Amino acid sequence: MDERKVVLKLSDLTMQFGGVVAVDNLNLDVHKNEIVGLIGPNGAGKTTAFNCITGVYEPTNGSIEINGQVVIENYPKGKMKDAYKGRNQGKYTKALTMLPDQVTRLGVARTFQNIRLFKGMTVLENVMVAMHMNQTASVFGATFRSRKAREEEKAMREKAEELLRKVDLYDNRDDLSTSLPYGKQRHLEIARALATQPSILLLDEPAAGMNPQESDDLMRFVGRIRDEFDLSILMIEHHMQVVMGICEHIYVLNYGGQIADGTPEEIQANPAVIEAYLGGDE
Amino acid sequence: MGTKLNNKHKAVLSVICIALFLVLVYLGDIMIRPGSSMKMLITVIEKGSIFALVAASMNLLNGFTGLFSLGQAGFMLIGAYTYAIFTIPAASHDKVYQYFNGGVIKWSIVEILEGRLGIVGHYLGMFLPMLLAGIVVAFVGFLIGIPVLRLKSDYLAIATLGFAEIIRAFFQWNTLGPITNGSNVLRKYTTYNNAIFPVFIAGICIAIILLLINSTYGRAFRAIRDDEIAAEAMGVNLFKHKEMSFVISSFFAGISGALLAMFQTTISATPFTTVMTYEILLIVVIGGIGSITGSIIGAFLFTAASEWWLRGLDAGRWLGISSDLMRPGFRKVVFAILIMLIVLFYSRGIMGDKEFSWDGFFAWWKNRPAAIKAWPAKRRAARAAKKEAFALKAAARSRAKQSKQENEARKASGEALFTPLPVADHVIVFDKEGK
Repeated sequence: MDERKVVLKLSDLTMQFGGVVAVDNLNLDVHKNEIVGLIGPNGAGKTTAFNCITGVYEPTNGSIEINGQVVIENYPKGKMKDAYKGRNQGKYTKALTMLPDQVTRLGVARTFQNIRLFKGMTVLENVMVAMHMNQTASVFGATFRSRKAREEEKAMREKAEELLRKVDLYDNRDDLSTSLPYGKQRHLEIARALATQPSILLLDEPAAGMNPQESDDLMRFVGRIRDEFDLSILMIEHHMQVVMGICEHIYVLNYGGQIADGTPEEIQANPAVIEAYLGGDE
Repeated sequence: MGTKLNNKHKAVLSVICIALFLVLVYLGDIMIRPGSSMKMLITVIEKGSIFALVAASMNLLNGFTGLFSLGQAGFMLIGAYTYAIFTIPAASHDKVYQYFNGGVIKWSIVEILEGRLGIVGHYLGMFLPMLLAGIVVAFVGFLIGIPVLRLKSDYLAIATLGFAEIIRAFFQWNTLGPITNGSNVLRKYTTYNNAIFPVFIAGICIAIILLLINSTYGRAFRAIRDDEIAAEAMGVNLFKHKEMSFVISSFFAGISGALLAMFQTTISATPFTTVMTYEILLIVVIGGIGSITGSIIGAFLFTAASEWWLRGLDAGRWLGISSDLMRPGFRKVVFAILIMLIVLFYSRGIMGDKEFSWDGFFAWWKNRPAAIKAWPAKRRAARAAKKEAFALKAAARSRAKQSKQENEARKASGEALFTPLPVADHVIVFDKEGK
């Protein structure tokens, strides 16, 4: 067993849309400084799980713990009470919800499957937006450039520039974010997530659309930022090369349900996983 | 302009330009006689600056926060009424509120403060109700924002449009007559006496909007505009920031409403319809969604075109052309065509989402269109040609004068003016056959 502290824990997480169970009873632990992979065929519910963690969706049942504290919990109620198809009904009795920005404040940052940069802004501004939440100056102070606001703005700019230097985007800092090449846009999205000073980073298919060379770079990059920023990382990824190369622990989803979990070696040998990916014997 | 300007120089240049403009407006309003056609220029500057302010406030919502709101006319209405109600002189109340027994509020802030502080009090008395107008509208915006800002795009537009109409109906409600004068006109309230006043106030407000947009909160607004989901994931509280943008925009719409009340000298709820909101939206779109400079340019162009340049189209004679087609209403047809042309050729508005900057201006100046580049030379050539023609004419005139004098002299001395033509020795007559 892993001795490290559990920083993110999903318990019996179920998400049902109408009659479709998108995520079915997912139990997942992310330990401190661990890189965890979440894989599965298309439509397995990986991104839905991400959206539950980050507060975009309210899960139907189950709970989410961040740094040892239950922050999101729900149970089937209202119409869902009768329509619920998942398990563990009645196990959870509290309804705790969080907005995405509150989750981010708790130190959980994410990137998106299809890049979502702020199109009308420069690279530097993209990163500075992510630092806005730690700003203490009021809107009046910021507008009329109070001393505090000016100092904060300056500190913010310096920190953003430092961060861009670390991810090799400093030379592009005044370019429009959308004018960057694809690979760099991915890096920028990760840098922007890092600017929220997270302890847990959720990466949604960071290597999507990359060639083997680029995904190798990305793999090294993810490893590097984990060490440099003291992060725990949960990533969804389809490139097996990346997943197997970098993840310490892998969870496999299929049709919303969890079919396997273990080290990369265990997963590669798991017959259920092979069946899900390649189809079983007829 | 090969040298690069540093920020200090740019700031000085801006201050000089703004000060020069203000002085010109001030002097222009004093010097130009009423009735002169140039007086229209002053009117356009007054109304243009008021519309520039409300367009900038709408742009803050539509262009910078991505909230498609159409409530601006309603907010202006509240601002206009708030200002007017508190500045009607006590003596005029019975006349203005003639159907409501002189109304409820029987005093004017301006008069009270003027009595205590003199001329300072007079302006303070105008300034405070204006500020109050902004605050009241901001509060109304805050209340409306709570339910409305949960809606997205088109639904938000419809909801705000609806609220604007409700506000208009509310102010015309007879039961509120003692305060709002029902559907009657409010008049005789204090107004400014020089065009510099609205230009100055609108300028300050627009400067504040610009400062806000360039602050960290402005960045958060733009992040919401570009991608709501990503902004939220980056820790930007959507509702808080949307509400903030909505309230601030409402505040400035209220101020511009108060200025409009002063400009018009009478105010009633009737003209604050959706049409007015669309006019403001038009200014924003023509100027460029996401550009405050664009809103300012758009406001002045729109006002100048609709109040001044195209007036002749309604009156039957325009740019020296008269036609039966040009009867009242034709102006709007031409105006519509102009707008279509602008939208066709500048699909993102005149300024797009760019702002004015001295660097940009000088860069443009360097690569200015050939027509503008050639203009000084052309002008010089034209002037030279004119001079030359004049000189030629003068020479001819002097020559004519001289010969006239000579003739006079010769006449006086009895000399024959004409030397007789030499008489032919014989005349050859050709007949038809040419023999």
